[in-house]
Amino acid sequence: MIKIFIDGQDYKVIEGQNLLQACLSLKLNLPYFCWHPSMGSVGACRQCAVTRYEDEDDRQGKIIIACMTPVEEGMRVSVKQSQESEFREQIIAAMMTHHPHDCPVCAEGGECHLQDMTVMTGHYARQFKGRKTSFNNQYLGPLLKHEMNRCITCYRCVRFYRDYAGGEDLSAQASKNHVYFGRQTDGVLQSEFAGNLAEVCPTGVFTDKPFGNHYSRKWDMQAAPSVCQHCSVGCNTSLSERYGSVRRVTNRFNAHLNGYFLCDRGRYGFDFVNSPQRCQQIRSSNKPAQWQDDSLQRVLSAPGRWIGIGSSQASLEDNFALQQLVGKDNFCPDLDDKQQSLMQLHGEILQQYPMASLAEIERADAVLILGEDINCSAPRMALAIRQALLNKARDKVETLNVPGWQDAAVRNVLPDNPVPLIWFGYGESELQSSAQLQLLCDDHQAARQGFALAGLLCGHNVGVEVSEAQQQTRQAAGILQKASRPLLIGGWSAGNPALLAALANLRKALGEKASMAIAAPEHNSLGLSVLMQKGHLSAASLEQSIDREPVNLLVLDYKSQSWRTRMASLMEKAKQTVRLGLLGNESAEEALLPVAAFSECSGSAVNYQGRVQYWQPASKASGDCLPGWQWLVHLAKIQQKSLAEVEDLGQLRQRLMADYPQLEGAWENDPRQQAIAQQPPRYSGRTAMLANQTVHEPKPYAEPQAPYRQSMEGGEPRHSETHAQPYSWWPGWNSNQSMHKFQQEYRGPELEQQHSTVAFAHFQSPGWFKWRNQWSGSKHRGYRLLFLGQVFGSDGLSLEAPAIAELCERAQLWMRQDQADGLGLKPGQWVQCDGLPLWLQVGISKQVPQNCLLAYVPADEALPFKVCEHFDVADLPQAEALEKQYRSHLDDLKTNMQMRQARLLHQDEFIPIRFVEGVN
Amino acid sequence: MWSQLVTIWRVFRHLFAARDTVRYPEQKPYLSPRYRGRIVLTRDPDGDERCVACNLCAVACPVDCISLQKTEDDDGRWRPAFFRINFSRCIMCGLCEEACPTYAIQLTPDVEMSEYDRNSLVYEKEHLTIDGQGKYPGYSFYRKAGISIKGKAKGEADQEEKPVDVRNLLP
Ligand code: SF4
Ligand code: SF4
Ligand code: SF4
Ligand code: SF4
Ligand code: FES
Repeated sequence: MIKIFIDGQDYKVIEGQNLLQACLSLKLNLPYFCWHPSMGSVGACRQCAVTRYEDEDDRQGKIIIACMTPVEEGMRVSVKQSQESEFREQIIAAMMTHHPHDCPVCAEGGECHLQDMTVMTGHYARQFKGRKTSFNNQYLGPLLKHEMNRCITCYRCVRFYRDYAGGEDLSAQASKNHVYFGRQTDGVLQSEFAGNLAEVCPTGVFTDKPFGNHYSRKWDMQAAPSVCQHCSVGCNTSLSERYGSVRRVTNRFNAHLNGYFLCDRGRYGFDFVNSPQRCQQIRSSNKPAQWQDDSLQRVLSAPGRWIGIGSSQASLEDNFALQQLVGKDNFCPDLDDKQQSLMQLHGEILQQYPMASLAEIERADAVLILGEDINCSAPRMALAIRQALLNKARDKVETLNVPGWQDAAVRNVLPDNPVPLIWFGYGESELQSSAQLQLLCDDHQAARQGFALAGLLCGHNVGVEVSEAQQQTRQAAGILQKASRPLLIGGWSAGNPALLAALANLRKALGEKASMAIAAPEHNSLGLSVLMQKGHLSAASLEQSIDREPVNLLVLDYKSQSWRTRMASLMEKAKQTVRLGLLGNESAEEALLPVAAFSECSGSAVNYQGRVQYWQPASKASGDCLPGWQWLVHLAKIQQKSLAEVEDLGQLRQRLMADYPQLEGAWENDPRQQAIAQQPPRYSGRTAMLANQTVHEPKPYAEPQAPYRQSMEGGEPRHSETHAQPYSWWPGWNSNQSMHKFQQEYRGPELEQQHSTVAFAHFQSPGWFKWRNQWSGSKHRGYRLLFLGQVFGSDGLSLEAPAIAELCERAQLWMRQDQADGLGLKPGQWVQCDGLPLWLQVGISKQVPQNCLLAYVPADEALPFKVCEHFDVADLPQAEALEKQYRSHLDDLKTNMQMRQARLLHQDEFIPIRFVEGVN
Repeated sequence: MWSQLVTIWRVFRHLFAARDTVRYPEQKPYLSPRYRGRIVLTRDPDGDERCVACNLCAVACPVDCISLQKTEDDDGRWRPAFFRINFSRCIMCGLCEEACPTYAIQLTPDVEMSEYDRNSLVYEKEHLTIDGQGKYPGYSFYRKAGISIKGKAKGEADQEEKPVDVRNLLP
């Protein structure tokens, strides 16, 4: 801590910061544009000017740029005197000369950093009498809207897109007041982080397109702290609702996980909650039904064995209630035994070693990625790894006495100071292409090399002979040994538990200096690992029991075609099936009970680190929907099980904690604390939005004992220390830049402890994992298929969001040129594997291991094979038919989008909500 | 005693004083055009809806009796999908008119809005929209704004240069 004087007042600030950061951390209002806490300073906008004085007697001082100046002991500056204030006002005035008269029709309006800063500097009237510059806009895909006239050339967009996220197709073009930020030509922005531009850009140049299509002002939206449902990172988000429908997801700062950025799957995938496919009605034998109907009650109270099938897309509470209802021996967490063993192993590893948060990942100085395409399975984690690659360059500039936040300097020395990135695996991706050391191999080979590498590092064999180690593995051992904070990355996407075991061994061999992160496929995969600790029913024994005796199935919904196919074959054999359905109305179950989505009820999930995170509802359930656990409690009443005694979520969580004591403290809820208001202080239209249905304003709805209230009444979020912010706002700071008012300081040098509870107690003494025989690949004829993911396509839930569905690629099959020649295939051709009706498009890639092919299949298709021997090529008419089919699919998407839009607009006018006291 | 007599005298004198009240409704008082009564939504000089669904009136309204939803036409204009004022709540303060950046929402001198049923005081867009421009003739927001709509491409708004050619290197 050092002492500086601002406007004559002395303050303690942390050394090593820049002056702007220090002022903001002190909660002083200092305008700025180009600086970003995660991207450092470049001094492009000149907005953060302050005056610096030599000493106490200096009355004149000189103007400096705060974001480019490190704080120094005894430094004297002023931020409120007229000279710097006028300077800042003139900067805004200059920016405003060409700014369009757009605020009323600008989707940024009301949360525009430029508006805020203009008001803050006091600029109010345009002096310029000339003509304004104008620009043509570009089509940038379904996620972002472009309105170039509004640019203030702060360069944040390209710095984020190119430097931070590694995108290549957005650039600064032309010069002087013609500078243009866009692509070379119209087209979809390629980076899976492009959506962040909507938050990074301080103006309305880039805005969230799906949100813009169903728009509402920030001040009008009821918001809730939520957690992303689209991968195991569990990024913290803020959900916003208006007139009963969820409008958008924005980033919610979490210093340990997502920081300031989300991936586009998370930002746009939430839209499945507005899908017309959502189950809204109780159905019995595929017909709409009532809860009291005899036929339904008969199904629900059927005697005999009930088997529950859990879902990693459902909340921890829903899965737990299911486990309680059917009993732990009848609870099958996943229909795939491979997934079950991964669940189990990931849990075991978490009992031995903690996993690195994304913030810790960003601190690594050597990275090993073992057989995982992390860019697709946990996009935000890949972005964090990308930041770690700067660490050597940062250290370098610091040895030259340049602070690490001088971004341009860091990027300058980056090519000569790379952080070693080691890639063992297959497939092409962003991180693979930036890897220094690569070994092209399939998952078995990667796992064996991992074991051998662990052996090399600890000096004795660990399961696999050290002599098996290849050249690259030996080099990797050298790199990892030298590194002071090596990072190990892996995941489940290869479906191979051996990879996880290899990582755990490597972690043990490297000791405490190393950190590790393993990505799971779904946001609550690890929640099921927790529940499995009490015992479970394996998928194989599930099939056996179904064949042996008539059983009733009770199923939590999971959105993927391969799951559906498996389920369908089980359903045929089962006596009857009850599905707690989220999506998909038409199906063959005996009973369908519609469940509320994550935006409509509270719930929790366990992320890849084993941390319990919970979310709050932003809106209310409509139709017959109830939270999954509530249906299960109703079922328990019918079946007279002990779960029936549970009355509310708090009691259910109590039971959960009693069964799994390590969860103690995961849900802090102090009933004496005032509930937080989820509606902003300027929420408008309260006395009109329901007036067409009733002029008697209903009482605000509140979940009993909930820490948040869907109303304007309640505690002000910004004054609450303990509750997560539903939305980020501060007087004078309407944009998301208001974030700094809530943090101790922006990602300081020392990271504080992560507060969330870890769902896995550390009790086992770390031992070596032995190589298990079932991990070795079996002999097979033909090609082994290795499955790859895509950010848009592999996650079934997000495919229900129209914007993501539009970006979803069709199934693909990658091979090397020589393999293609051998098979007589050409890139772009369509093939079928072993007679399966699914068509895959052939692609050529160098990153395909021997005897393998890489396949990508979107979640709404299934390819149940592991190996494939022969391929049928589509002939010309077939290929044309496929193209036609695809085009009509895209047309369908468009029509569906319009219908959906019309439905949502109708719904805005006639708000279809239950639970509003006084209505319905 | 004396003061009571004076009071009675004064009241008595009022019997012969000139009347201040008028015989409403037969006789109507003059209300200036700026008088704040029933709210209307006006049209721009080309006859298009002026309101761009910016929500500023709604947020300015102290009793929160305006609610609307933005939608966008194929021609690029922002427009309210529905626009509702609950006049049973409205206090005719005129803050919405102050806030409106397009002169769309205006208060009129019509103050005769009594109903037996509160529901009849809920006005939708079709009840609010009038055919004319109201008190502020001649103003068209889209002529000033930078966004392009059908019939007005980039660079065609008032005081706007032709769009920049990004590929051009000339100074
Ligand atoms: S970017 Fe901000 S200041 Fe510019 S038009 Fe949009 S809301 Fe207004
Ligand atoms: S587009 Fe936005 S982020 Fe990029 S330079 Fe312009 S104002 Fe800044
Ligand atoms: S990285 Fe995962 S959790 Fe984070 S936003 Fe993307 S999908 Fe969601
Ligand atoms: S302020 Fe004017 S333009 Fe904006 S929504 Fe209200 S009436 Fe429409
Ligand atoms: S924020 Fe300091 S120059 Fe832009």
